Amino acid sequence: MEGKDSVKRYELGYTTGVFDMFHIGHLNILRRAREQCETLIVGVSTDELVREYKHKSPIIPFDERIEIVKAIRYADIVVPQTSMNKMEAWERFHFDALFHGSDWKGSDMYTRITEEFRKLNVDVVFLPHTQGVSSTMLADVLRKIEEG
Amino acid sequence: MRRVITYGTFDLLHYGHIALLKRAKELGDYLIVALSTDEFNRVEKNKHCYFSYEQRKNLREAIRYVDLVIPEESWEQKVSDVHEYHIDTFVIGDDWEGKFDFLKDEGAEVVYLPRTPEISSTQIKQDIALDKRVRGE
Repeated sequence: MEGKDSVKRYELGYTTGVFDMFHIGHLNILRRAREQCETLIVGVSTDELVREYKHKSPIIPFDERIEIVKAIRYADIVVPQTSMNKMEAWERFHFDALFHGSDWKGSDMYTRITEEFRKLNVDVVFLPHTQGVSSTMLADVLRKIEEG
Repeated sequence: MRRVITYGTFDLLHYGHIALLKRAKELGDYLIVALSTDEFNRVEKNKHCYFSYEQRKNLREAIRYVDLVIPEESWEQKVSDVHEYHIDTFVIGDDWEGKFDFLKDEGAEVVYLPRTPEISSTQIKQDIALDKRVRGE
C-alpha cells in the first residue's frame, strides 16, 4: 500500500465501466486505479451505449449507476461514457494512464488502443479482476434464489 | 463535532442506500454506519446476505459520506453505542418510524428519513427475477 505522501506514478487516470449492481469487484478496480494516479476520472456507460455493444440493458438505470460511482471516494471526477472510443475521451481529458480490468487484455480493440496510446506516452494499465464476483454472476445468483 | 449513526445490513449497494447515507451525513460532521454482522443477520434478522460482512464493510468504507463502520451484533447495542460513540443524532429509514424514540432518553436526537421510493434491495431482486429490465422493457 502506498502512503499518503507518496508520489503517484500517474497524474491523471481514466477508467470506464457499466458498474451495474455495484460490487466489491468494481470497488477494487477503482481503488487500484486510484492508488496509481493523483486524480481518477471515471466514465460510466450510458444505457444507450450498453445496449449498443452488449445488446442488453443494464439492470440498474444509468442515473442510479452514476450516482453510486460518484459516492465512491476513489472516483474524483465522474462523467457519462457515451462512446467506446477511448481516443475521443483522451482528446477531452488528456489523461496519462488508461486503466481497465484484465478481461479486456489481449482483445483486438485493446491491442490497437495500447499501440495508439503508446505514441502519445499514455500507458494502458490492466488491473486484476476480483475472483468470484461479477454483475452477471450476481444477477444469476439472485435469479436462482428468487425462483427458489 | 456532531456525530451521526445509522444501522443496516446494506447487502446490495443501491441508490437508496447512497441517498440515505448522504442525507444522514448532512445532519452532522461524522457518520458512523453500524453494519449487521453475518451472525446477527442469520440468527436475529433471519436474513441471508450475498456478501460477507468484510465485503459489505469494504464497500461502505469506500463511500465518501461514511467515516466509520462498526459491527452491529445485537438489537440492544443501540443504547450503548449512543454513549460509547458520543452520538448526537440517530438516523434510520422511516419504515421504522417511532420504533427508536427511546433513544431520546439517552440524549440522542432521533431522525426518520424517508426511503427513496421504489428502490430497495428486495425490489431489485424482484426485478431481476422477473427479468424485466434485462429484456429491456
